[in-house]
Amino acid sequence: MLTRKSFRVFSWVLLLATFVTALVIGIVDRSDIQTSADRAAGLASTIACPQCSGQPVSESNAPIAEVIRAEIKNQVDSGLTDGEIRAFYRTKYGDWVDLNPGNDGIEMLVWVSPFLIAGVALGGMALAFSRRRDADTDNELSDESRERVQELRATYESGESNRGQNE
Amino acid sequence: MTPLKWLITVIALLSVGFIVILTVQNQQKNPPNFDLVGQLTPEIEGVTASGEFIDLGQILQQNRSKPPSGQTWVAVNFFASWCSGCITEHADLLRFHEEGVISSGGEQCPTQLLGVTFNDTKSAVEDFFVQFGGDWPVLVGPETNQIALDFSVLTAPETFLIAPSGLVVLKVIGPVGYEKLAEVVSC
Repeated sequence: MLTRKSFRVFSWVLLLATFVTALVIGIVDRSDIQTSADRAAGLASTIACPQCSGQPVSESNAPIAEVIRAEIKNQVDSGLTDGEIRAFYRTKYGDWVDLNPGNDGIEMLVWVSPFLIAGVALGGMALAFSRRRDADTDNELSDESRERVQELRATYESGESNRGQNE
Repeated sequence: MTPLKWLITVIALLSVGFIVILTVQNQQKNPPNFDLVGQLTPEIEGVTASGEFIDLGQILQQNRSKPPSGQTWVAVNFFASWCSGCITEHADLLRFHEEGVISSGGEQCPTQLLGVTFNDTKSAVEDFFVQFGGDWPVLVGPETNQIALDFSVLTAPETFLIAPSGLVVLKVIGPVGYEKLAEVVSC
């Protein structure tokens, strides 16, 4: 039989395990089990059409988007890595066509900040809960107050019994 | 202020700072080569609609063994049968192809017009030339995609003039005029 405390610990461990598992699955490179068409489609959805305003080539009907889609497929088939393909389009049309932010310099903030903000938020929640628990603990009555409550209760109960006898 | 309010303030400041940084930072680590002028031309290799193999590098290599007056200037024109600008410029390209360019000294400067199809099919291109005339070499096929991207082409028509040395000396986005090409060519 689980005690309340051990159940709470178990819940936190389970939550942490789920989070770590999801993180690992998200991080592990699954390109080896993708078909070349999947890879090409994935790249096309994260490379902007140079003639459009931020629209990925996968969603654009502009002629240059069609050219880039065809060429991405060709580049994937010829064995170029995703990084090499992205670098090619950044060189030809500028960094802005790569809709995936980089993992260095200031663009690294895009990846780091969610964890940073989540960490600060969780810390804040933990602090808030611990303060509330402390506040609950501090709510115990002083001896003086307890005596006063007992007096009032006694007065009330005697009043109730007198009323019962009169009726 | 309570610690919780401090934390909320920090999160809010971090978020706002992050958005501001992303908004104002526009420095590019890899400047694009939109403007190829002054740079060496990318390679052009491919098969024309008539089945002829064209290699720009070979033309430029041959220039090295010729006197300046005999060296060939190459105009590379990206076009498509579906583009109205391509119809607009066609007469000027036809003139460039047929007349070439006469230098200020009265000499005929060797020129070569080379078409590269942009997102178009061979049959449509052949119909286009039947309708509007012209018989200069036009590259067709899937290789033209790579060539267009190497030249950072956005849409058709775009024209690049390549000096005998291999340097790109002119880039025209949109319909090109004969005079525009002729005023740059010299020999």
